[in-house]
Amino acid sequence: MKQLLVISGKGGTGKTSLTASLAAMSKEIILADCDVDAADLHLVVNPDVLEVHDFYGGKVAKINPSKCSQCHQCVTHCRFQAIQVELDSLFWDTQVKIDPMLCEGCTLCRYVCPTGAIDIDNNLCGEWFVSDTRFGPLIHAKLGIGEENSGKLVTKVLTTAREIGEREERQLLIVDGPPGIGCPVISSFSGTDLALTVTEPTVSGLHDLERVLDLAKHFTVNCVVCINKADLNREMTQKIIIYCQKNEVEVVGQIPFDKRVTEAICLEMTLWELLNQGDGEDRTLQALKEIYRKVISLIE
Amino acid sequence: MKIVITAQDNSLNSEVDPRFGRCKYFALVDSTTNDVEFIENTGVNADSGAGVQSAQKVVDLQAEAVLTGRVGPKAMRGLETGKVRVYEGITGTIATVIEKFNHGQMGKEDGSE
Amino acid sequence: MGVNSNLTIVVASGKGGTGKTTIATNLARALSREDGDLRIPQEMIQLIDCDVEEPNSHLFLRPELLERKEVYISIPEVDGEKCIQCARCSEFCVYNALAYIKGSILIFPELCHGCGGCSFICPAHAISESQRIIGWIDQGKIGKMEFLQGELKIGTPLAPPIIKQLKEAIDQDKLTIIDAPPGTSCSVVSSLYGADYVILVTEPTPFGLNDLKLAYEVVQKMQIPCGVVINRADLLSSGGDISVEDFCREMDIPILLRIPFNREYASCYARGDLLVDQFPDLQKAFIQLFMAVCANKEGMN
Repeated sequence: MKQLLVISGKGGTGKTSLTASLAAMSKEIILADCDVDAADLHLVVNPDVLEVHDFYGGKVAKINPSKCSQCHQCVTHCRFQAIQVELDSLFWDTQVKIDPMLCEGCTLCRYVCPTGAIDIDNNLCGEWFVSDTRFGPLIHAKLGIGEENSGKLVTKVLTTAREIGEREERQLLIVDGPPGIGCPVISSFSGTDLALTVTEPTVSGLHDLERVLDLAKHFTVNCVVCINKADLNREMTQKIIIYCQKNEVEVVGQIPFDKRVTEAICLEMTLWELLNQGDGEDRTLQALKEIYRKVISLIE
Repeated sequence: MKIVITAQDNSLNSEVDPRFGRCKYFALVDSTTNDVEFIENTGVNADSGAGVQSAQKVVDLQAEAVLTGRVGPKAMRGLETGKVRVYEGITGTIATVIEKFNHGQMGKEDGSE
Repeated sequence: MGVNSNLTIVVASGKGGTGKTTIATNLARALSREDGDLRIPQEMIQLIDCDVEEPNSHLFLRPELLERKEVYISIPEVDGEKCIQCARCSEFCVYNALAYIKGSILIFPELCHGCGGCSFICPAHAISESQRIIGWIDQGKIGKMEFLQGELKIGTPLAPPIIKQLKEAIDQDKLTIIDAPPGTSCSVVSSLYGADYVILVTEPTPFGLNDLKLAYEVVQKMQIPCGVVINRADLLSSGGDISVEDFCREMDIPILLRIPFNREYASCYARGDLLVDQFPDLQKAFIQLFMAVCANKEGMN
């Protein structure tokens, strides 16, 4: 099974829409939505959720006030300012509080506590799902609010997708990657045969493209680029093409700005499905076909 | 000598696990007696540094070689320091991999057979 | 109506690409205009770009960058002479940033969170801490307005420490506008901490709505008052998607501003220009946005 990752340094470039269209154009695929912070792919592929699993990631410290001797050793040693001394509700006494959002689960507070008042819990920080869609199975997830460990959740989604895909003898795993260049993106690189980077012809689009291509290079992931909304600014599109040539990254296609992208989302369909209802001479449709053809030939 | 093969399950018919850091089991093989012991990898659920943890485990098991799919850069550093030979790109069942290894058919250390 | 000129306003969105940076940078410019109606002195305004993975505000505001500081975290360093090979440090480290391999301690700086645990517990005092660069903070000026941005070093997965350090520059007496990273992750929470008000930017599509709900959940959990800006408010040619408006009404979230889709706006953005510099109507709209924030915030108190 081959693995295609769709990423974009910048959000909102049309990564998820393109992922969904590529899924609709392919056969024998499995999908993984690794944008666990703001998963959107499910909105256009109407998943039938078959399994829901809890996701535990990281550790979090918890204090037992009845055992706490108020020595404040933990407060002194915590490097993350996660432990604070507060007045209790009667303004009578102080109380040591741990902010789970700031705690990084390093366990040093438990180590220094002389009275054993601190426990370390596994942190329930999200859920992941195995679903069925009209294109094939979809593995997706939802990370809890303000949770870390999105990298680990990405790994969970990706390895589950690989397992199911191999078992069901799927030809291609298409991964909707996370935006940015942080830890979830690094996690989503694992096992990737080709990364399709979606950008847009804006100064931010180019700036973020440079950063994400640097990251991919750092992790020796093969990259190609697709310029979405290419006709919105021809000059910037040209700049992106020149930048890619200089860095020996192939531009596999340009998609024109098309209001039907949003229309398709509102109709809960992929752009490919919407365009296929019209005539075959469509510019956007041709662009999608071209990208698909190139990506498939490169990955094989 | 002792070798470790990453395994997806705890049997000789199990496939090699392509992941090193987050493999399900380590098959610890004594290549002189052909005894095999399956050890569960507790690093599967590590929040970070699963590869490092696995490398440390392999070194602690006193293995001289590890056979797996792919080893990440951090785990590789650990294994190199521990003077463990690394064969990547290994596929097939644990039984066939042991067979091949014993017949010296492992090829170069980057795993190309 | 009172103008509250020392607020810390965070511009956030569940989804990237909705126009978060556009809103933050244009708001800052609109407010800092010398000939503007509000007359907040430029030196009393600061813009902080906390989107450290993809800091883009500078592309639009083009600040004069005056100073670049490195951001470090502490990572362990083992003195091999003193080390008694007890391996307690590697057992302690939950991040697996230290490994005990054949009599020596290997350190993996990429995995270290800088908790200081290993050096604290080492019975032989063999571990000291050295500094590792995880990113940079740039300080600059746009006219007299203060500008700050953080930048994550590529390949380093640690944004929150940079954001925390960036936010130490917040001056409570000034009007502070923060461009937050997209999403709902720890970086977003770090950016929102201590904010007076959050402007959530979205667009009228099912993606926009889904991500607005997620972002709203974060803001609710952190108990910060918020309002919504709908960007590309008339994007749809057919029918239109009113679910974002419905959601706001249902949740009683004020809609502070609607910006229509306009090819001229889009190309102005693509070039890296500010909308309020090109379109006088939008200059007025952004001042109204700020007035709406102040009014909404006041109504809460």
